[in-house]
Amino acid sequence: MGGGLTPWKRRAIFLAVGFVFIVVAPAALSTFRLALLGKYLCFAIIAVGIDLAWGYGGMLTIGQGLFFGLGGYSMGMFLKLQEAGPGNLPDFMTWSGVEALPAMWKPFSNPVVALTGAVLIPMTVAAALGALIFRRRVRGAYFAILTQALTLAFAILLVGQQGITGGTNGLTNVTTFMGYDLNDPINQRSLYVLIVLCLGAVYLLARQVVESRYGRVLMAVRDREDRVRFLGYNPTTIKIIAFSISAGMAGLAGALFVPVVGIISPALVGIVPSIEMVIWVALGGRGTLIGAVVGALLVNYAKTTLSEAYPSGWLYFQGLLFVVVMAFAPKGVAGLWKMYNERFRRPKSAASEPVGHGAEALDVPV
Amino acid sequence: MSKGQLLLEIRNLEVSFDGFKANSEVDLDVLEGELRFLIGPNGAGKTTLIDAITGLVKPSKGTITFANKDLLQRREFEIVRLGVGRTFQKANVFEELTVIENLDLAASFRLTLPKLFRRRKTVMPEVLEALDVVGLPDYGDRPAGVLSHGQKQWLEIGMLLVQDPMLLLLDEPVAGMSKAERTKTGELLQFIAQTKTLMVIEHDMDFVRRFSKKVTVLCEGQILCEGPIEQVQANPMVQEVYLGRAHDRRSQEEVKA
Repeated sequence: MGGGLTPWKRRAIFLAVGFVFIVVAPAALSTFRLALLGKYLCFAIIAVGIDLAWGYGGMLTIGQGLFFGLGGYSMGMFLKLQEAGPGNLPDFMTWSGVEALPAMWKPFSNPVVALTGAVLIPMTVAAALGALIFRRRVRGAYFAILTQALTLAFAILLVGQQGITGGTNGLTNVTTFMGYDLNDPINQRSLYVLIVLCLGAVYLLARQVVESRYGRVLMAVRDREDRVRFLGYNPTTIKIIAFSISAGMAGLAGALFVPVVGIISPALVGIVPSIEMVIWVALGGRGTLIGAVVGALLVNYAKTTLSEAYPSGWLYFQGLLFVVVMAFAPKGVAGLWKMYNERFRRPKSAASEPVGHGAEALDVPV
Repeated sequence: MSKGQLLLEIRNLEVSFDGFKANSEVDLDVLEGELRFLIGPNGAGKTTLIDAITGLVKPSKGTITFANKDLLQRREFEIVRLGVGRTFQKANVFEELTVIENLDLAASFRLTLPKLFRRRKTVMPEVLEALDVVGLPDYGDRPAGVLSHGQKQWLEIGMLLVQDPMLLLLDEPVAGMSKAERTKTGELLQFIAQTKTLMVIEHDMDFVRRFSKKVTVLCEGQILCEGPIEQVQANPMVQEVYLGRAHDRRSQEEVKA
């Protein structure tokens, strides 16, 4: 674990990276680019969650858009209500002829409900889904398809409920956050720093999870669920926890995404974005947290850059990238880094030493 | 529970797969502190019996009671938590984890969730003890993947020991082991039997003769006879089962011997 670095080195690297993101990046980038970076960092939070569920827990979730959306809409509802002011309806409701605030919206005028809900609602939904799915021992491709179907259903539901959800347009024109004007560069910068801190916290939480005893059990469930059952663990519980944490992270990312980008819509939470989320982790290297973060940042940076240069070429490029990486570096960027380390930097470790066999090593106290 | 009390009680057990009866009319009692051997030709239903006890297959008839608790209504991990541990014919350790990590994984199953979310900083005393008992103290920090076949089986047994079960069900623990390894394993089983109850499936008659006190013979899903090894070997029905399969020359000679 941790690429063979000592804890102190790891801490130093972590702080150095944090310094670059919090101090250097805001000074070096324009407001526009900084907002883009903030968006990528939101995506990195999702990627860490996916890595936890998929890389460490073996649950290939192609439905993370659902949880991202739940978080995003929670935050979006709150911000729209704040903007409209007490007693008024959000702009799109007036356009759709809605006259009273729908009951579903009412709790979200409370900031505490909205902010904790953005994380807790996805976690609860994931836990409930997990209880149904994992108990029945639905795994692998079946699990993946199920999560995807749910995401599709969620997106369709959002589109269909024009008066409540804003339909295809979603919740747009979010311009203030907790009373701060989001067009003000200073506020944008503060929001960006908040996102960096959230990513840092999410990363440390995930690190603790995977390095704890629970993390070992989770990986054991991933590799041999049936064996773990005979060690006295309930794999259903183990998987629900990881899936639920992963959903909470996606929800948090959604809640941070809305003030940065100013919009949440069905197109951002449907099947296509959900698959892209998995691709970030696959390209970065699943099973390593840093790989997930790097994957999300690199792919989204490439997406912006290439889309600026070749507006319609990105999807083809993304497909090609995915195929090439899966064919030549199935463990992603992090896998390449590991391979480079093992080949050229560190001398052969103890793992390749020959080992004595047989009974001479055994000394039974009888 | 004290020695000699009834620990496992199986009554009229039947397991069928699509009409084929892998076990039928099985009545079996295992007493606290026993080292019981379960023998019988291939396909006699030995492994199926253990699968039924541990919840891997659901019997179509009968009852299984362990320490006065009905096992049939319980799921695999719940049965483990009641104190029934098992190994499989093929060693099933986590090869990329070290030997200590394997043992720790097994030993942590009763930890509460908040404790489970902490990192492992030290080695639990029961892990160290098990490492010693199964004879792998020099391999603690090696990945389990580098162990020999026999050592993996010992590690499996160690993973059972750290869980402190009341009943250990071992499925052919010495299959594929060298002569010296078999002897060590037999001694290990006898050592464990001082404090625990064991039921061991075994094919190797020589091994059974050396280490068993009481043997149960299964044939075609049913119990043929039960008793000390000498008595079982003298039983004409047992001889017929083994001798009747003339192609199985090895077991034929073993039964005669």
